[in-house]
This record gives sequence, C-alpha cells and structure tokens, in this order.
Amino acid sequence: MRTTAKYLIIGAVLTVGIQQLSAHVFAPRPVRQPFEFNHAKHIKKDWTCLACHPGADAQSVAGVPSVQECAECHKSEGVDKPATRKVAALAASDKEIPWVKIHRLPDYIYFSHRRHVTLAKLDCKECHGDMKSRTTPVDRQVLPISMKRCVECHKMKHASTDCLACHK
Amino acid sequence: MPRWGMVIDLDKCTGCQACTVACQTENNLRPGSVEESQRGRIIEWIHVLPVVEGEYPHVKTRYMPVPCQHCDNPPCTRVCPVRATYKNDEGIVAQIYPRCIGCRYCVNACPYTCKFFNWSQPDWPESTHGGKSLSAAHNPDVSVRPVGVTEKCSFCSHRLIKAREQAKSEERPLRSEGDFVPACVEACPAEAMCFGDLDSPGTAVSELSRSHRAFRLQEELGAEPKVYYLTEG
Repeated sequence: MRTTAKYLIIGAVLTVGIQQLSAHVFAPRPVRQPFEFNHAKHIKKDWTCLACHPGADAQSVAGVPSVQECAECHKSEGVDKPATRKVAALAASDKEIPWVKIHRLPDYIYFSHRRHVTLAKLDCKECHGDMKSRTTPVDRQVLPISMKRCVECHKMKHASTDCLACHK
Repeated sequence: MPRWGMVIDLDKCTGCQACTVACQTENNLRPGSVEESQRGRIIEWIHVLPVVEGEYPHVKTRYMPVPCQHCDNPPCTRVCPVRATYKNDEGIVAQIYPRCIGCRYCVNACPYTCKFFNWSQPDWPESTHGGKSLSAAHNPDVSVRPVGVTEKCSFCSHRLIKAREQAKSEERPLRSEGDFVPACVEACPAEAMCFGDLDSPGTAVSELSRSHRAFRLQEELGAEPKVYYLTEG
C-alpha cells in the first residue's frame, strides 16, 4: 500500500513537472522591438486604435502607421527626445521602423478584421489584450490566438463553425 | 440556406479556356511543367474537355468545361478517413488542406476526376525581367497547397465569405445570384456559365437547371451533381 502511494506521488510530481516544463518550452518567446513603444502614453491622447491601425474596421488586415506619420506627429510635439530623433532619422532616410510582427496567422487561415471589428462588434482587446494600459512594447501575444480559442468564441457568439468559414 | 449550383450552356461555350485561366489566377494554381503534363499531373480545377467528332474535312469539336461537380451525394467525402473533405450546409464540397493526409482515396473515388493531388512542392517561375517572382501575384484570400495534399475547386468559397461580409455591412441579405460569383463564371466571355442558388425561385440557375435541355454528368451514378449542362442545339 505504501509503495503504491509512493508511486502515485512520484507520478503526480512527474506529471506536474512535465506540464510546467512543456509550458515553458512551448511558450512564445518574447521578441525585441526596435522602439520602447508605450501604448498607454499614446492612447492617453484620446486616440482610438484606428488612429494608428487603419483598416481594422474596413479591411481584412489592420495596418501600422508609416514612419513618416510618426515623425509628423512627434515633430508637432516639439520635444527633443532620443526616440523622436531616432524616428526623424529613419523618416529622413526613407526607411520604415522594423517592427517585429507578433500576430501571424498561418497561410491557410482566412481572417478578416472587418468581420470581427465592424460586423461582430468585438472589442480589440478580446484578441489583443488590454493595450490601453500597456506601457512596454508588445513582445509576444498577450492572449493566445489558437483554433481552440477561435472555435470557443464562435460557438459562444453563435458564429459559423463551418471549416470553410476560416480555412482557405 | 442556399444551395449553390452552376449551369453551363454547351451551345455558348467556345472552348476558349478563359475559365481555366481565371481559376488558375484566382486560386493560386501552380503552373505545371512538361514532365508533370506527360505524367498526367497537371492541376486544373476546371478543365475543358474537347470531344472531336467526324473525320476531316467534316470535323466538329464540342467543348465541355468540367469543374468539381459539388455533388449532393459526394462519393469523395465518404471515403475520407479524416473528414478533410465534406459537404457543408450550403452544398459546397470543401477540402480542408491542413487536415488532409494525402491518402488520395477521394481522388480515386471522384467519378469526374476533379480532385488533384500535389505530387511536388509548388513552384512559380522567377521573372525574366529581373522583377519579383510570379508568386508575388498570389491571391491572398487563397492558400498555396503544399506537397502531399489533395486540392479541388471550391466554387471560389473565399468569394462567398467576402460577399456575405459585404451584404452584412450594407445591412441586407445575401442575394441568391449576383453577389457571389466564382472566377470562372465571371471570366466567361461567351456568358455560357451562370451561378446562384438552385433552390431560389426566379434565379437563372434554378430555371435553367429545370429546362428540357438540362442534364448532369453520369447521372446514373447517383452522385447528384450541382453542375448542370445544357445540351447543344
């Protein structure tokens, strides 16, 4: 009896250990963004997500502002900061900010921002997390974008769960 | 729920293959090589079958465009061991590529030879003018199928998603015809093809599919195809 209990405890410890280890191994690695971008600071200026991510309401893909747009805004701010200087230098050299893309969908998935944002009226934070309070650059997916999560949400909101609705 | 179907008027079809080219571009079909062609491995989701009759100088050629027949009783879906191919509620016979294990049971089960296996990695030629590869012209709404999976005509189902999205944004129901049109139907210069909801009264497809000229390929098999042909003359 004692031996059985011992094996059970060892088994439980091993299971938890493997779970923890695999969670660590398969967890998305944080990436390093080229700027110390502060979402909270920008959103404080009463901007909506659409101000910097055009197309999120009317197209499949949401965009990011060009470096020219960043430079334009920062210039009008008239503050001499290292980041402002860096943006101005990039804008002058005609290069874009090399942001590292965080949300990458597989080639075989059809996703439309318009379908989710405008038609289904979902808040951006349902998939992207709460960016309004984010002070550090986005270095990994805040919420996991997985098929399981998509299907759960589709079921909950009575959206189509036909494979063809998302697979292309 | 609509039941999407197609009618092809063989009297109007000139065999120009505009439908084949439109499909190729719309659905990122790989350009085949001479070797693949010789081995019968060219992928064409809609192929135009020529039927030559008579002897010179009294020769007559008939043409018959053959897309996936999107059968109501599809033989291909019944043999799929992983449900990578199935018929959805709107009658579209779908193929889910990441789910396909490449067993080719469905390829052999299709009596209309409308399923195609990817025998090699897709490859697009580089530009001869130093520009981008032809793969830069891919339609982002359609995936590129990798080696080892079976592919087929989808009735351009990605267009249905967009059409439905557009209708919803205009706060109106999806029309039974006109809103959702596959690339081949759109490209046909002779207007030999029409597409729409077969069950919706008043649509051209529902009326033509009940015309005395209408027939379906190999009806005796009982697959109940949703592609109707109108006989010549």
